[in-house]
Amino acid sequence: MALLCLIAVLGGPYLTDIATEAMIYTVMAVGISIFMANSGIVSFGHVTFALVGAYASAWQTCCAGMRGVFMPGLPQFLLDSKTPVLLAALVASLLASVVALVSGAAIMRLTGAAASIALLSLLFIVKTIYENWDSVTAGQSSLVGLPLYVDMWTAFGFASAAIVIAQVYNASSFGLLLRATREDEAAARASGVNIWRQRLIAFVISAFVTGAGGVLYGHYLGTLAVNVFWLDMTFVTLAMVVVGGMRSLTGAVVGAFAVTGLRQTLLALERGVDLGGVSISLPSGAQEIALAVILLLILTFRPQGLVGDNEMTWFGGARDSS
Amino acid sequence: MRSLNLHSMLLGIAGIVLASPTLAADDEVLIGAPTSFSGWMAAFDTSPTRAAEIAVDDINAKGGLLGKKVRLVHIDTKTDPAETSKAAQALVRQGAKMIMTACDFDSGAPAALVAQAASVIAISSCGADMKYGNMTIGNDVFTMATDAEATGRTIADWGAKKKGWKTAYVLTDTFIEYDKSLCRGFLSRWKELNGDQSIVLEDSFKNADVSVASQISRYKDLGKPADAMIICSVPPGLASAIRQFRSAGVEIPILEGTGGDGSAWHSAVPGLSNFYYLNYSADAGVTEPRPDAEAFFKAYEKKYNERPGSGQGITGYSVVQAWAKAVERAGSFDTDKVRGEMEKFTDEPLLAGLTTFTPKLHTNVNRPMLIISVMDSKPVPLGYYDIRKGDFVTWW
Repeated sequence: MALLCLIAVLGGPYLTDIATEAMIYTVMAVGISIFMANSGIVSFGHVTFALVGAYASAWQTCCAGMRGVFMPGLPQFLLDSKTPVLLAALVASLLASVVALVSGAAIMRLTGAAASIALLSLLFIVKTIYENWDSVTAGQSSLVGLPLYVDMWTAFGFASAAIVIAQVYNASSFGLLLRATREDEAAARASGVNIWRQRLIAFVISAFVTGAGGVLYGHYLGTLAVNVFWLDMTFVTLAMVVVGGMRSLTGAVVGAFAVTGLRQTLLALERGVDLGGVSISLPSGAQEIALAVILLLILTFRPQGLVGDNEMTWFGGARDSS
Repeated sequence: MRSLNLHSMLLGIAGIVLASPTLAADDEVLIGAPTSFSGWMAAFDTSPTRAAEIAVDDINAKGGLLGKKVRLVHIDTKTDPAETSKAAQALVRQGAKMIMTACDFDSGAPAALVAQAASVIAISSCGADMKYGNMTIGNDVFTMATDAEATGRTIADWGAKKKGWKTAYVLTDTFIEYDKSLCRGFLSRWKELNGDQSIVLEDSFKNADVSVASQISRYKDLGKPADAMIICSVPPGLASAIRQFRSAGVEIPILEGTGGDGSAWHSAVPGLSNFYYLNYSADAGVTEPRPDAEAFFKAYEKKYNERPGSGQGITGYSVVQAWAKAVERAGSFDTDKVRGEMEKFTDEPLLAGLTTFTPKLHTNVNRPMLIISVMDSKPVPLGYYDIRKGDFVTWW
């Protein structure tokens, strides 16, 4: 990742933007992966936490004097708050965790497809609430003026922190217990593992990290709208985790970079590239189609993703995560 | 991990090759257009962006601007805010002197923020949200649109004064911010002219609602028909709502803002009649009264083999036109000087209509708009209505 930053610095500002975006997506993908890789449950709902995190940060830091105009329904202490951005990011991510704790307490009792569908409905519910809670989220119109503090190095810092959190969790006994439930639910239960509790712990931690990803996204663009955190983002982040490898943390990181790189390359091709005087361009919309086709190919021929079960370690060797 | 590094290096190198920007040459000046040609915003951004191209052609045909050739660089932002922000940043770095932003505040705000931070003028084509014009982002941001509330006030003024309608039924589609503002403006002007009791019913629906049967029965149960109704909405919800009201025997005049624009949806309401909407200029199928606007439509048809899909497309022409006029008057591309000239616009006869900006307001609240009547599916322009005069005006 650091190498990529270096390439980006050498490659000029446009590449820096792409690297920043890739790193923001890495945070989200790692967040999703903490839950998905260890529990084996495909989550269609994690974008919810990015949404909650992004708005919670906006409540604390957005819009200078305009906060009361955009969000008149905020409690007074939030209207007056001058929280430093990083503290705000922490608080916002914690709020995402709280939402995960409350909703997860119920959803984590489900397994398999039922849990995936319940997670998707969580996204629907929270999005609808945020879209109609006009006085606090500005409803369907966008918030403008979030402090723009996210540059490539900030995103790099957040991505590194996210990876450390995920590593620590994976190495902990909680991570091990949850992976045991992924491999064989009945055996894990028979060995005394409280499946509900283990899933909930992972869910809360992963919501924290995904929430931080949402915070970064908002402060990278400077504007927020509820409909950004919707099916497109769900698809892209899931594609990252699936392409990289659904069962490992390295997979999420590799996937985030591979998918961002692929999207940007296709996008550049759509816009037209000049190669020795010959201009080549793909028809518009090719990016989405190509991404979907690649996703299908990977699911068909390499269902375990680019890296499969392998995890990279601090020492450079590969080990099996399970 | 080795494979990851190799992978990212390849991607990185590909990125460097693909992303090397073309900088502005000395004898040309760049205009950046980070707008959407794909995704749902494509329907709103395509014709304004093409119209801007025509404005650039016109300027270059007359010898350019301050001795420089104008070049418009468009980057498709795919209705994605992150792409919009990145595209705007790339354009600013290439040296764009003006950024044309999307026909919608939410989609265009990321680009406008980038432009403002870089002290580059940003002008939206048809973004009618007040936030484009009231310094929410900053003083370098303008919009060629007529403010949504002002549009609602104009159609109310016309209905009350020219048609003599006294009572109104207001139906708001709460799906889009523009429609909420439109109905808000209509309500305030209607009450000013006809009194607080003149609104028989206020109701709402959502664009995706399959049925408006409950709204219809609430209206019919009142037992006192209104002189007119306004439906603040956009197709397809608009077409479906009108059709259901007409089928239920509600034949009163129906008013609409610029959301009724374009005749493509008329076929969804067979025999559409007694329908009135307003727009910046005539849309497809309507004869444009202004010769300069008609000339623009011809040029557009010649270049793109079709007329603009909507009457809002013309605002894109004026994005370039307004900026170029200000540049010429300022004799410079300097942002502060150009902004100063734009803020002096008072009823400036641009293609988008008479345009007025002030240091406090970078959108139009008093612009005459073309009122179009539809009878038996045939749209007829009634003329440009000026709310300040309470009458139709001509300025050409």
